[in-house]
Amino acid sequence: MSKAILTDITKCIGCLKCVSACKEINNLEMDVPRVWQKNDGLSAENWTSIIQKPDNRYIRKQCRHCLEPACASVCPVGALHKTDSGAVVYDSDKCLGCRYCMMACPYGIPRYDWNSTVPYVRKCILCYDNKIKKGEQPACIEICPVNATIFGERKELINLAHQRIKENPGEYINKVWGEHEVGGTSVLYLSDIDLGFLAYNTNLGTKPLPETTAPAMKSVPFAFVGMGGAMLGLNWIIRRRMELQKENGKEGKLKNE
Amino acid sequence: MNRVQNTKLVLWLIAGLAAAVVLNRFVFGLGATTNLNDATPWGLWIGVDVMGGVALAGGGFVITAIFYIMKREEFHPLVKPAVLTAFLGYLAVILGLIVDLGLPWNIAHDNLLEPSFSSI
Repeated sequence: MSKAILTDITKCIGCLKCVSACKEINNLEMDVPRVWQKNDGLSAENWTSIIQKPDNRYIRKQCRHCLEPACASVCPVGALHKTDSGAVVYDSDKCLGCRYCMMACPYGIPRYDWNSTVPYVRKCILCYDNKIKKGEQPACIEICPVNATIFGERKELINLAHQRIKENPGEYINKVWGEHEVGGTSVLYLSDIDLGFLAYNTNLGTKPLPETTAPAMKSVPFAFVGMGGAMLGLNWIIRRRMELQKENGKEGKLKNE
Repeated sequence: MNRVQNTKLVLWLIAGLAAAVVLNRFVFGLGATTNLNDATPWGLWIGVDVMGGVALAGGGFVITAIFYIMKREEFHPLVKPAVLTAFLGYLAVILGLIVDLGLPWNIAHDNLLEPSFSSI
């Protein structure tokens, strides 16, 4: 029962109610513009934002909650993990603050408390503790006045998205963003403009990102033990040869020559 | 003052400057100390750690392997300085990492006893 969010760009009116609802439920402070922020509206105190595009298009940006999250894969201490509910959540007690997740995210989502002496990684957690655990909908979904962003089972939402495209083929680009990219995400988009700008690369591919690195990293312990064994063997051979050379004396050397 | 004393003075000045930066980082946070931001969360400290410190230690591994494993006696004079350099390299990495990590005290938790092998 993996939950998901479907955001329909053609329906969004850009009222920013989701942004303020998110701030309220997560106890986020006022956002002060800072030099270290990116220009997409997200910050340590802003976990969802509205990006305005020409012709009154409003795109809500938030964590995509990938099915196989790169951020969770690279975390050395397992501070980030994907729950069964679909949310990718963060454990501040485990986090070392190494910011590897920020480097790894294909959508550039995690933000950092740069001005804090106890800096945490901050991002949308799909209201995991406050709402999903209680069986409720995330705050941004509840508040949306035009149902531009809806919450439900991921499979059902994908079906619904395809149904909407089928019913109004002229109104949408024939693509559900997040259905296949990087192995699929739990935040889906329907749109009539290209949403490639949400990712760091317009050609993300459909392969889950952890698959590209995890096999190599998982073989490190074996390489470590294997290399040790190989070096021990090499040392044994060299010592044995030196001993033999000593025993045989000059004769042995002559034989080798 | 002779040349040794002058050199020492310069080195102490650099060390003092570094200590001031470290103090600043722990009192005011990473944003006040570094030019790191949400778009480039890794910077000089990670670069110097990995490209400098770890690389420095790599030379120690090679020299000790040649002497202790491959038994090439002619490398004996190099072994001690190589091991010392490697040690200092890793020490630099650890010290740099403590400053660069946002929550270095969490290393003391049992996190690393159950490491995630998909990472590091």
